[in-house]
Amino acid sequence: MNERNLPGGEMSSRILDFFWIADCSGSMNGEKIQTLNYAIRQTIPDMRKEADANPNASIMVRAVKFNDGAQWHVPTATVIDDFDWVDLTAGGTTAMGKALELVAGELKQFPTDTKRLPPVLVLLTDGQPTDDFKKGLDELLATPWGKKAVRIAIAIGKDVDLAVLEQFTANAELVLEAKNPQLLVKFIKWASTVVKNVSAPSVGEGTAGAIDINTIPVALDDDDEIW
Amino acid sequence: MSGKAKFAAIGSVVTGAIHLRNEKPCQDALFLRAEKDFAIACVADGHGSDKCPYSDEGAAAAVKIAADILAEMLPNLGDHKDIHLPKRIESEWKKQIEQVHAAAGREAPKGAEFPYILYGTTLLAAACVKDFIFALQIGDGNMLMVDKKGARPILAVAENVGEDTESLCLADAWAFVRTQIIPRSGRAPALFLLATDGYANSFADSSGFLKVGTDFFNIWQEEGLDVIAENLEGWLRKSSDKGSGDDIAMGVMTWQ
Repeated sequence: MNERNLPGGEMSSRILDFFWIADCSGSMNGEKIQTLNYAIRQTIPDMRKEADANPNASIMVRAVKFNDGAQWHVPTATVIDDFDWVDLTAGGTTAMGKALELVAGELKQFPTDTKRLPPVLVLLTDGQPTDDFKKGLDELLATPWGKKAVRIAIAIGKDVDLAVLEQFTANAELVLEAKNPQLLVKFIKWASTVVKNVSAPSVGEGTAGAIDINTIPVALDDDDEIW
Repeated sequence: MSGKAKFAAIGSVVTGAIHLRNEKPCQDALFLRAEKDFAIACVADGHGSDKCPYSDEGAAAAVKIAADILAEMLPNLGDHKDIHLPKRIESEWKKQIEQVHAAAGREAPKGAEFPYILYGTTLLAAACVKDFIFALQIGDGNMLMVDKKGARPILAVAENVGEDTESLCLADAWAFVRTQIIPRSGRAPALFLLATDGYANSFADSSGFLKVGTDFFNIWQEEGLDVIAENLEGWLRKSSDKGSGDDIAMGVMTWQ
């Protein structure tokens, strides 16, 4: 073959945006927030391996924390190789709607073409929204990328409003109920692996249709119900 | 130039970098036909997800069926409002898929509806005749019409985010088929290209893929179509490696 420039413009791998959306309300204090911090940190090596195995996708991670309001915990899209997790602390109420508004604001900035892979949003909470959740969800779903995002919710303990989380995921199977620390770790690790699935096209089921729900960890009958 | 149009069609299909790494087959397909009075090019992108394990076969069937139907209906292609053609493509593809499924001895469908999703695929097809091009598309992918004035997208969807695609496997798939007639302006040389989305997704932005059109046009005019034909597979391979990692099927038609 003749050595000549490739036709066309600048090439690039596809960007996969991953958002952790973490509840830091007072009820998360203690073992729940410690386990969350531990588990998210544990996902980093696996996500790096996945990124190495697929140089055609660049995994970029951000994180939002919410209690009395919502703030960026990791505000800049950070390539997974440079990503580190700074522990969250808990205290305050559960402004889940504000957290979704913050994510919606970011997704609004994304260009609406097919170069980007659908984002993955993982919402972790142990309670019920204390603000206008619907407003936040509506804002999120009003953005093209929010609508297309793979949305997973991890319910920590027994006091979670599961109906709210089902509204967020639009799929009851993607609301994962962690009743003890071991399951929380497993679910967080599983959620981080869906980056493998989102590049496959789905047909008429939304982006989440590409996820193999059979791989979701299951609670065993003799698992302790601690939370 | 004799005043009579001359048609040519070239193309290539490459297995994507991701499929090569995972030792999976190429899910894209290409079919070309160039005759004295017309040229036809069809590409298809089998979905390749776990729910579509035979989508490479679905894509291969789609390009052949579309090419045969377009060739047969050439005299009537000018009436692009006719829904008969998309309906016929859908029905013949589904009929063939059922035959392929039975012939391979695969598990019989459990429900009343045949699970066409096992073979799900997109389809882009175009036929060039003397006065116009007829273009047809269902699902993702890109087509460009190029002449000396530049490249312009054909049948592009304004807002198409994410990986949720339309497909021949859907119920009433014909209703999702987009068609367009593009008249030729005078007798100026023109080039038409169509590619599965793995190519356009390899560029940082949309302008990068538009530049493929103008680059191809210039190479064709300055060095000849053979140069594109000789290099195309290598270009597509490198583009998949550096970009999307996806399979790419591409057809290029010229007429002058």
